[in-house]
Amino acid sequence: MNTKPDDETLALWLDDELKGDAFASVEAWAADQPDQLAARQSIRDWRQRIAAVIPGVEEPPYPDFFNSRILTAITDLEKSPAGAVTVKASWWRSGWFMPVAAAAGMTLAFWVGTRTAGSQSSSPVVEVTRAAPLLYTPETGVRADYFASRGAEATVIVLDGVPAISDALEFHDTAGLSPERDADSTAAQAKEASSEVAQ
Amino acid sequence: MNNGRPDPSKSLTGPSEPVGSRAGADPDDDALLVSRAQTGDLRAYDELVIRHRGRIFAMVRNMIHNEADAWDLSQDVFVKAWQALPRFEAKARFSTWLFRIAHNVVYDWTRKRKIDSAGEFNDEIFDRERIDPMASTAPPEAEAPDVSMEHGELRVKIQAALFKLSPEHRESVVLKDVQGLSYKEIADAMGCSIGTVMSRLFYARQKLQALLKDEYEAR
Repeated sequence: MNTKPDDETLALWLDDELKGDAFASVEAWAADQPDQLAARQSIRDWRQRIAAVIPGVEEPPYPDFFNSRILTAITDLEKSPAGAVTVKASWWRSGWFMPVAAAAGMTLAFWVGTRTAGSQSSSPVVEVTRAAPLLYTPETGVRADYFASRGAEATVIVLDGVPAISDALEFHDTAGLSPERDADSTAAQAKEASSEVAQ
Repeated sequence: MNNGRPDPSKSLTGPSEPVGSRAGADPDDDALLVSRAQTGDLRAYDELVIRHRGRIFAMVRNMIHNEADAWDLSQDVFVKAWQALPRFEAKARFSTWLFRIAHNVVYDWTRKRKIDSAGEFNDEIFDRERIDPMASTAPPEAEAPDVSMEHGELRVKIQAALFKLSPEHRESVVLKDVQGLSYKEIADAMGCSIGTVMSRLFYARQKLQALLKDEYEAR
């Protein structure tokens, strides 16, 4: 082909997207088109330059957490059908409901307050076991297990795979607290103050 | 939502067949994983996320230039993709389809940021202050420190120039020159004609060449 290709074909050729016969025919036409050859080379140089400095693949920070958040969001979505949420939202936003609900809520809170004042609650305020936590360990090979006991009012997170703390580690070196010295100095200040008052 | 799917929480704990290599996103392996994910297999979908999160995160980050927002938005992409997965018919590659969703997520987010998106964007609307001078500059391969520094400086300059383009122009450059998509794939991802992509890319490259003129001449 010795006639100029249409714009779309030429653009595909400039970006090295043409194949087979189409490529061969445009290539034959471009052989005596130095400006087109230069334009193609310029695009190739640009692609090479940008590819060298801007990566096309970049792992997101905390990739494991990235995935676990997606899976949690999907699981939550599946548990709460969109239709029900929409219906609930429109009912909730209707004009008469808000003041009525507020008044009922205040009345209920007052009644509960009068009934429970002075009495000790035997059950924990927050039921931990119902709020299923998302356990995430940033270190590969470390497994986290979560145990919650309402009876014992205890929550335990067990990390399996964390390296043992060396016996040689001196905690006072890292903590940097010296409560005795602080107490002494405070006591000394108090003593000084009381002696000043006495004078 | 996801009508006809089994409960995904069961899939998380249930047995799962081994999946292919994570290194490359082979379209055939994608097809297998996609068909499993379409039946509600969350482990298969997790594997698809692992395969494609690098490209989606890079694309979103290059579009909005904020790592924290890009992190959140990339997750939105995969959540929306899961919701739309039953409608995916494998006419296009899974990665192209993801880019299409990423395009929508980024544009929705941009619209919410009250940036005028009517018609062609004004290239001057994005101010230079949004360009992060502390952006990560390390290329994927290990390089000599002087080469790395040179590439780091160049990356900052190219990114600064990219952010002077309209979002449409910037996206066409990102998808073509950074992600290596074909014109057809870009047209599918951006929801426009191939001719429009060609036009946008032509003007975007011209503008970049003008913005990076000093850089071009120095090399």
